[in-house]
Order: sequence, then structure tokens, then C-alpha cells
Amino acid sequence: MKRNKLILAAVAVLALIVIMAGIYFATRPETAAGGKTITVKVVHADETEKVFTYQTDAEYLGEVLVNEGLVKGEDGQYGLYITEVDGEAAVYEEDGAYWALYEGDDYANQSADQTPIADGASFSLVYTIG
Amino acid sequence: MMGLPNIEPVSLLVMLFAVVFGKKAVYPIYLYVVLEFAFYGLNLWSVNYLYIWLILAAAAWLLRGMTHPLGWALLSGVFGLLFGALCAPVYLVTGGPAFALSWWISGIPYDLLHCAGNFFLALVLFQPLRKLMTRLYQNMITR
Repeated sequence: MKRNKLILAAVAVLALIVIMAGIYFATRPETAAGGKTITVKVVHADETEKVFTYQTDAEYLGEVLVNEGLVKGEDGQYGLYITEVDGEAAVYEEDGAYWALYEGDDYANQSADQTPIADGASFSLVYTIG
Repeated sequence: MMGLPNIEPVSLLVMLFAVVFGKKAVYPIYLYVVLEFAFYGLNLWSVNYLYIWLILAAAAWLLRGMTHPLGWALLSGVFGLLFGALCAPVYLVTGGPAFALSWWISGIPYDLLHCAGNFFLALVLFQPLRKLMTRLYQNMITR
């Protein structure tokens, strides 16, 4: 192959590389801190409320709550048993207190680490006695 | 070369088979394809493999008079660069134009890697291996 044709071919390949790289970077979706946004409302024993907003790619609520340091808990028979939320502990053995989990307005039928999360979902952790 | 996505010596070998064996290159090429099917099972990519290596072999055969290593490196590199585009027709049929286009675009980083790997492998190895294989093949057929 003549030298000029070779150089032309090399330049054409380089141009193609640049074009393809440009297409890729121009069309790839923007990254976000997390793919889903959820809110968690905490209602303390004194009925004060705090709302926490998280961005996450996690599939289940328990992972988010633990990783964000909002809750502490133990692995129980039915999954994560939350014992402390936002620094306040609920000790069932003392006064029957526990942290009730709500999905929206509905009482959750499963533990936090078995609760799937979707973008825009809201949850509540309510200090409850009895 | 597992663990290095799209870094493969197959392109180099296909080009060598084409320039050394001519039409008989289809035998080792499709033996490779059958072995791939046997090891990894059949999937959509299997359809790609039925035609894609033939494209490179045909291009190499047409350019068999080329002697400059850079020329062969560019051919192999371009094949790697266009690998995704050459595979896309299968996904065009199965998923439609939008799916095929997004599939191709999302694979561009791998195509770029493929291009670089193919380019450097061919640049270094094509000419010496061509000389060796040509000599060996000539010795074999003249016995």
C-alpha cells in the first residue's frame, strides 16, 4: 500500500475513533448520586418529627437505613429488627416500645430489609408502645 | 484472554488464515465458531458469529497484497472499532432500530478497546506470523 494511502487510512481511523467516542460521551445518561429518592419520617416518643431524604440505588429499605446511620438493629427471625432510630432506642422488654415501620400510610407487614424501595417512596418510623 | 474484554487474537488469526489459506480459511474459522458455540452455548451473539469473521476474512483476502504492518494493523483495528456496528443488525431485527442503536452506542467503549487491542497485536505479530505460516503451509502442500 502506498505511503500516502496508509497515512490517509490512519487519519480516517483516528477520525472514526474520535467520532465514535464523541457519540458515546454525548449520549450517555448523566450519573446521579443515587437512582432513587426516598423519604423517611421519624416520629420520636415525644412526637417530634424529622424527615430524612436519601438518594440510593439500594433495593431494600433496611440497607439504606443502616448505611445512612439512621437506625441500629439486630438480625431477627423476620429480618432486621430496628432497636434504635435517630439516636432514640425503643426497648420492648421495658415498656413494650418498638419502632413501627410504615410504607406511606400503611403499616408494613415485613421488616425494613425486606421492604423494597421505589423512586419517590415515603416511609415512616414511629415510636410506638404496646 | 479472559478478563480483558474484547482483547483477542482471533482477528489476527482470521486475517492470517485468509491470506495464507485463501478460501480454505473457512475451515479453521468455522471450526472456531463451532467450538465457541459448544463452550458457551447458543445465544443472539451466535448469529453474529455466523457472519462477522467472514467479513474480516474477506477484507483480508482482498488486501492480501498489502505488505506494510501498519496497513494490517489498521485493518484489524477498524474491524475491532466496527465490531459493535457489525453485530447490531441482529439486534435491529430482534429489538428494532432504537434498541439496536442504543445497544451499539453503549458498547462503544468496548469497541474502542477492541480497536486498540487488535491494532497493536496485528502491528507486532501479523508480518512475522504470516511469513512463518506461509512457509509452513508451502512446505506442507509441496510434500
